[in-house]
Amino acid sequence: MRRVVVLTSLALTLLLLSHVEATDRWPQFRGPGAGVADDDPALPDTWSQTENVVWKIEIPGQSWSSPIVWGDHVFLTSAISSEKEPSPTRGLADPTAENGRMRSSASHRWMVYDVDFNTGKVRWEREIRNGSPPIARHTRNSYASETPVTDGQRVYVYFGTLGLIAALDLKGEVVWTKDLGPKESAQGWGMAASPLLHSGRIYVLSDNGVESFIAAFDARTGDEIWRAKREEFEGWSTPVVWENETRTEIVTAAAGRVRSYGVDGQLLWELSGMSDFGSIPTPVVSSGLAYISSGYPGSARRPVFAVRPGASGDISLKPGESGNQHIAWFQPLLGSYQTSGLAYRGHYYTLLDRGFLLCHDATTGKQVYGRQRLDVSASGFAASPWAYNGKLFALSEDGVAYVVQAGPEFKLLGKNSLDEMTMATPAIARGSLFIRTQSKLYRIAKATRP
Amino acid sequence: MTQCRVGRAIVLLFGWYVITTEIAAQTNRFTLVGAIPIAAELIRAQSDRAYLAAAGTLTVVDISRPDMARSIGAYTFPDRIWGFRVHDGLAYVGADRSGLGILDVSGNATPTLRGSLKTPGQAKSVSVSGGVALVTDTVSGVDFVRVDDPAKPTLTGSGFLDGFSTDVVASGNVAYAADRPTGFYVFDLSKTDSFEPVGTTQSGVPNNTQRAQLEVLPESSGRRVVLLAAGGLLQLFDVTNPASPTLLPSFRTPGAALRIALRDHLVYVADGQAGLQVVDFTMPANPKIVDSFKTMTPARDVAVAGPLVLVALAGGDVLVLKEGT
Repeated sequence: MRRVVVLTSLALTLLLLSHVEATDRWPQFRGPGAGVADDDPALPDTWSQTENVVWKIEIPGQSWSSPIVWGDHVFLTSAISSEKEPSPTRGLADPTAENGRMRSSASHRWMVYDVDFNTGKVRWEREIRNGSPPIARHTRNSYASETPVTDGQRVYVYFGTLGLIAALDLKGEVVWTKDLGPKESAQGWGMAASPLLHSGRIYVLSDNGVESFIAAFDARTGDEIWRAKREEFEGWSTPVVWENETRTEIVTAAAGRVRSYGVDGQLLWELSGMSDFGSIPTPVVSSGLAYISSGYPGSARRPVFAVRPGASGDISLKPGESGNQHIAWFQPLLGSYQTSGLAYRGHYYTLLDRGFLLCHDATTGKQVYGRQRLDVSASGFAASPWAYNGKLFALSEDGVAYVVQAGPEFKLLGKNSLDEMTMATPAIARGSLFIRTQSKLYRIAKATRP
Repeated sequence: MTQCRVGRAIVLLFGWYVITTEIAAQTNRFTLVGAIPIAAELIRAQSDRAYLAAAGTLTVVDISRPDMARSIGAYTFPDRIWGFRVHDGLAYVGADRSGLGILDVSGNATPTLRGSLKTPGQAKSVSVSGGVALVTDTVSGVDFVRVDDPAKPTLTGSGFLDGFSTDVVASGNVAYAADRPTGFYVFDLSKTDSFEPVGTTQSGVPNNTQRAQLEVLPESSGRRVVLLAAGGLLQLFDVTNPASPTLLPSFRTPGAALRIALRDHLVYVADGQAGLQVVDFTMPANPKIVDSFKTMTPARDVAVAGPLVLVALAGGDVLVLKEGT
């Protein structure tokens, strides 16, 4: 009897600890809604380095991972070099003679931070590992580009540079680590695909030049549950969990093929026709469709596919087809290179890396409006767009967020500058927007709460 | 100092070796009259001046005495020069992250920077027409820049290219641009309210070089054709109707067709390992190789000025050839 009471109390305690309203959490890259946050009048439309800034803190090192939020906890990662590293250039880079690759021999510290939501004070910081990066990276990439995930009990970080997964409790203690080994990407451009967390499992996708795989791990212990080999040799796209009417699947986008796996690791369906170069945008699941895109500017294929649930086998389009039983629609030249798509209120928005916004009907793929330039002086866009309160937001690498009216008519409503480079996609929770620039983390919210 | 002298001697000996072997390889039509011992990735020439670009440096060379070519001076940008064109004593330079640079290269003085404009991404190449510099940029596509006052270049608009923009060439009120992998675009410069292309098509052959080059052939029988050298086949676009550019059959040279220079309908091709090729495009549907010149190292760019043909070689040196017997 006493044991039952203890167990019940423990369960209740855990439940209370982990109970956070849905709007209070943004537990993964692009949050639970693929970049779409619940409407909240507290969320800001305007900001600057001082306006509507609740707090801002310096974050050392270089990292393009996004912050995540769970209740009062804001987690983020970084890789801190002991030496000055070359500053990343802004804007899409046409590869030069060095192909954009760089290698650092400086000692780095791979860090996890827990920042207090209310005050911006660092609650704890934990060094996960130190040493020289074992692999090269692109000059615009970082050695900590993967966004962590959390279930409110632990925060899980994956540093692709190291091939290391670590689980930490909310006090910053390391619960377990899993060393998968570093793996160089084919061109030495480093890693970026973030881990996924779903139903007690961590999923890691590692497309590299050595031994590509997708694998599932027990979130409690780090034990490997399954692993599937892959043919791709590089890629930076974060996979997505697709809970649809027929099953739950893990959709991965890559240069060679889009592949979807069951939660048991079995291949469900695959699709060819992506850009013939590593994929970066993460698939978007919305309104019963999975939108998958890639758009390397140097590739003749820059597609967006809208896939229906329930597919099996090879669902690739035949020449001349614009859809089939499993592909609701297809646009051959719509995809962006770095930014992910945004499905919002019946429209599918594409933010091209070079500062154009396009709008298509999310169901049919028909163009609603074509390329609309946000700002001719913008140097480029890498962060994925987000939406709330009937507005879209596009954050440039210059740190300028362009605010656009959602809907069939393009209308630029304003722009907000933080005047520092950023490539990280923001997080949104509890009426606040979290923007990570090259050196800072901002919490932005309306000064006067409605 | 001793090491320096030894180094110079080696360079001179090497230069002599190159020159003698080139003489051995020349055809009847070309006479080697000199060599410029300056490495050049890109080369252009006008009357008695040659303009050589390597890394971030543009060097002006006096070629009035081809056998005694003389450097007048040089200007170095912080970033790589991807392309440039010379117009009315000014060199318009696409200097990567530095954007558009405008150098005064007139007279006999060292080139000086008259003006510059940072473009959003990597500036690749420039063409000038009617007070407007068109700058290809990896982020913005083609930037339209007013250069009436070279000291104050002003961005007026941009036209988007889908891929990595590589080159642009203006001819009268029309400009043509290319991107990687396969895009070809036509811009109407008389339009002041729109910077979008009025016509576009895709080439069948991927453009794999970052220094692709477009040139406009002289009009013949009302037909206008644009050439694209992009490290493979020479591609031809019929742009007689700007709204509907048409890809014509490509022409295969023996080598890589890296860069070109035009003299009327003769196209001089820096053909990589195949040296210099001269192709007669009087009939674009039926071009013919009419001459060639074997080089010991790959030819990577070519320029023509009067009777002179300058060939930039991989690994250094620019050959100065005189055409005709």
